[in-house]
Amino acid sequence: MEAILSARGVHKTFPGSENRVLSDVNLEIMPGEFVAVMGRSGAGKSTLLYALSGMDAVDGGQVFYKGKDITKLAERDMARLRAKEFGFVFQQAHLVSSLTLLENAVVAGHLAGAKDARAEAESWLTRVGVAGAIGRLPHQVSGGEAQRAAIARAMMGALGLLFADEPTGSLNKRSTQDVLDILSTISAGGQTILMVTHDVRCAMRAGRVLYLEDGKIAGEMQLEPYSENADLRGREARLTAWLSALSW
Amino acid sequence: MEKRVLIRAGLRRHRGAVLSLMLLAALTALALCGVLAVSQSARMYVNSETARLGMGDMTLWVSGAGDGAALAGDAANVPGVTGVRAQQIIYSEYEIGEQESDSEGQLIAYDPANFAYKMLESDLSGYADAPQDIAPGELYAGAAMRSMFGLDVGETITFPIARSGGKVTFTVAGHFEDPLMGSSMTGMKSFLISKSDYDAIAKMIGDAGSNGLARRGQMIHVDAGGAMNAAELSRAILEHTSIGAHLEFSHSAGVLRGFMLTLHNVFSGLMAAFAAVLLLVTLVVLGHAIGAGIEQDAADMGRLAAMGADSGLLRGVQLGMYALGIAPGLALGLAASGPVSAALLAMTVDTTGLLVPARVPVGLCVAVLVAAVALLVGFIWLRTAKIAHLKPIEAMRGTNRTAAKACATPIGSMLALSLAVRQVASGARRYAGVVLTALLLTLFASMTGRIASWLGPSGEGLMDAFNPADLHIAAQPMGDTPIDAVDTVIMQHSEITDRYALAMPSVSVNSVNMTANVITQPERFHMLAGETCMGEDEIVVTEFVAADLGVSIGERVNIAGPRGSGAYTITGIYQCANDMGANIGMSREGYIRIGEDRPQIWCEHYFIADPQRQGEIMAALGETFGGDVYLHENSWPGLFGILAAMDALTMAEYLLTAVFVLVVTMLTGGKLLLFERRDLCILRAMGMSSTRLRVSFALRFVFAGAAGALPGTAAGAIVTDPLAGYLMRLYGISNFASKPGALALVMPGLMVTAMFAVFGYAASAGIKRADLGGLIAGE
Ligand SMILES: Nc1ncnc2c1ncn2[C@@H]1O[C@H](COP(=O)(O)OP(=O)(O)O)[C@@H](O)[C@H]1O
Ligand SMILES: [Mg+2]
Repeated sequence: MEAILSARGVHKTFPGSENRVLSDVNLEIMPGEFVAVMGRSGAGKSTLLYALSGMDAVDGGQVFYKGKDITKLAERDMARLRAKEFGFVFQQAHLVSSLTLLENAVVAGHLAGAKDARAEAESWLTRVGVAGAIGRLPHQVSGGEAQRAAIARAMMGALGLLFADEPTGSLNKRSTQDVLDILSTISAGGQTILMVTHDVRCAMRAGRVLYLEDGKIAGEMQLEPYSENADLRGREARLTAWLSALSW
Repeated sequence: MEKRVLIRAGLRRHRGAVLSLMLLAALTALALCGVLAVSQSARMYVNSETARLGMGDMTLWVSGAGDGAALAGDAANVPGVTGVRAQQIIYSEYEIGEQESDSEGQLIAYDPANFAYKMLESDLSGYADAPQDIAPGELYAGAAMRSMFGLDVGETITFPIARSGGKVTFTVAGHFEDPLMGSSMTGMKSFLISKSDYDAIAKMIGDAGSNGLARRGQMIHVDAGGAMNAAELSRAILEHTSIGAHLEFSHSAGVLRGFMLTLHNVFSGLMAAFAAVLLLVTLVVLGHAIGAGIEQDAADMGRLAAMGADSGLLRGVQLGMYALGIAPGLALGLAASGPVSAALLAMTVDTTGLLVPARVPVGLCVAVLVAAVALLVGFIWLRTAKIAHLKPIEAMRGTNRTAAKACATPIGSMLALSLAVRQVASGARRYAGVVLTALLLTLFASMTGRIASWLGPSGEGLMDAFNPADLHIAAQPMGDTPIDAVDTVIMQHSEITDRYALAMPSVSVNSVNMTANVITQPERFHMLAGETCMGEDEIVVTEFVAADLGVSIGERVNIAGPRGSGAYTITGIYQCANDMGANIGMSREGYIRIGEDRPQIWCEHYFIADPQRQGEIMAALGETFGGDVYLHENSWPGLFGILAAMDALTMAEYLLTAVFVLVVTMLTGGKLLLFERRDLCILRAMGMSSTRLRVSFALRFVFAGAAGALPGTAAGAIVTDPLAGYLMRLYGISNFASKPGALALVMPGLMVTAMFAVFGYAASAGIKRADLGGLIAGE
């Protein structure tokens, strides 16, 4: 099977600093996979995610999505790719502040070319459990609700790849569980997900974990597919042990 | 579809800005369309009325030719002439109460079958039915006579037809519309009387013989189907007929219309300048609103970009949002221009003499507005260009927001002041809209101020357009009164600082009859181009004469006077709107070659040391000499109507300036409050009172306003004269030059800055309400 997303020799330096945040990143994501990228705070996880998703420019290297190098795309084509193929979930919900939860999802649906954006938006917002708040503006809902709405918005349209950057980073314990459960459900439905996180409880939902250090992928661990009835403690312990070996 | 959702959301969020722009667009469109409506309606109306009455391409005023039938018949046979119509008139001076006319009026025999004049209602608001006949002893006067002489219905007017008691008095039965000479700007005045009264007066004149004061004559309207210019037509008529021997004066239809439209043109010239500035200010405000809106929306745009919205969509949303404000605004302005121009036209009936129906030239207005829209849309597109370079992740993080530049203005003990200085200095870009608006509005206000100062408190500026040279008081002895006696009376009140003499004999220039302004000091002429006529074979002409005769500076013309004729070189173009511009200027030495130098032809013009006492002196002269000395000063009765209208216009302009300042301040202030909510909350939490914060806030607008008002004042000093002069010239006033005093110079800038201060304080009302919970404002 061919990788849905792959990176070759990606590197990036922020203007005004001499250290390379990404020095030589190589990786492959297969269709249907749930991959987590871990690393210490400041390791460059977010930078990597934005580089892979075309949200930010890279200095060199190539990023292939479905066989096409997306680092060379024009602004308009990149926008189309984000609209139709990619979905994003960030640490903050980043809902468009002037649009209601429903409108946020509807607009995303239209951009993705959904046939019945409204129905699909309502359906997704119901699946993530915010059906009661769809008419409210982002500042009128809780952080957890906003983040769940953000996932619903990201899922609009026939999604190719869902990117998530610390999706539970600013949530309380209860909301964190809700969001992770939603992600697990989506993943079980066959959705490809690339998530960066420094939280073991998030990472253990993934099927494969990469470790980012010094701007490179410094380690990789394969896990069996996550399920609710699996041995969660054992899974967490194995992950922690692996991380300790990597000077975590 | 997504666009619609986003535009709706944008409108929700930027309601204030969009509504403000709607208001500005409406005012701008109102001004633009108002100018077009007033000038077009008046022009079309005068054209259609002169055509309806059959006034032709040229009107010749003749006298001493019996009933004039033979002359009219001759004129009809001139090659190229397609139609001739004649009206029976009587030239006569007139008296209304204590006032005497300063030129002859014309009593026209009422002939509704051939010349169907329109009669006005007594309040001048509409038309009354034209009577079959005018009752004996009654007459109809032009509407302008009301403002000039207070000649209302029921008042009487007396015409001295012959010496020793040959006076005829009429009662005003109503007012009529004369599209040829009804305006207060025209020296000649017409009156309609019954045919029987006309015949009776004609008989009186015949019986009086050499004791006659009035003269019988005709207006001969010649139509050439527009195939010949005024000079060609005039030459053809004089060549092929004996009209020349009877001619009093003649004017082309173009010249006559120009004078009927002078007042409308003054208005339109001012309004056009006004509209141009409004359009510019609207652009500035729009630019500022877009800039601030994008800054405010940057994070949302980043989020939308992350969702896959491309910059085309985002810019389209901005465009759609502002277009939804501007388009209805423009439509509103266009719709309002109808009633507003109608009101303007109705207000001026008693000076223009015409009840012009307001017809908004919709096609032209739409074309102009479409051009304005294209300008605005192009501007929006340019102004939103930075959206194309927006990096979603940066925008979401807010790193795209230009961080306040480190700007080390000291923070002293005068906290409100030093905070204001710091804020303006470090966020200069955000105040650019205020600065530019202040600049433009100051420029505009100073332009208005300068036009007002050109006009002068009693309209001297406009009068100068009519007099060949300046004066304070002019006196011309009619009988045997020596001019020394006049000097003596004047000197009892004020010293005479300078004097010159002016005579106004008739001459014919290249066979066209006109008045010559003969002056003892040719250097006093109001020159527009070239040199004045110092030599005895030199003359100056008006722009009208130059165009009418098709001559220019350096060319030679032949001038005939009572004693002979000679060739003269045109050395310059001068300004004198008298006799509708059909006049030339020459020196005394030049005139003596062809005319006679009798003391009675000279009118002495005085400059006095104390012009404040001019009124007093005029009264004293009137009392001393009565009718023996003809007196006039730098004013005429129609002027006050224009002055009042100008004052109203100036007021309206200042009001609009206030509206614009208010809108800009509210817009800018609102955005600033939004951006600085956190800082303001922190300052309040630190214990700064909201009043102090508001003063500091208002001070920023004072600084930004002053920063614009200063260059605005400077620019006003530089560009007002050429700009207003150019526009005035387009509308027929060719000698515009303002001479403002020091106060008039700085006043507009001070006013604008003060408005910003007041509105800035008002705009900061939100600070009082800001709750400290805003500190932890997240998303
Ligand atoms: N816009 C930026 N400009 C300059 N440096 C940045 C920028 N964004 C991130 N960095 C730096 O790059 C490094 C990686 O950042 P980031 O990818 O956000 O780390 P992580 O997400 O792993 O915590 C950090 O040292 C950070 O300071
Ligand atoms: Mg990060």
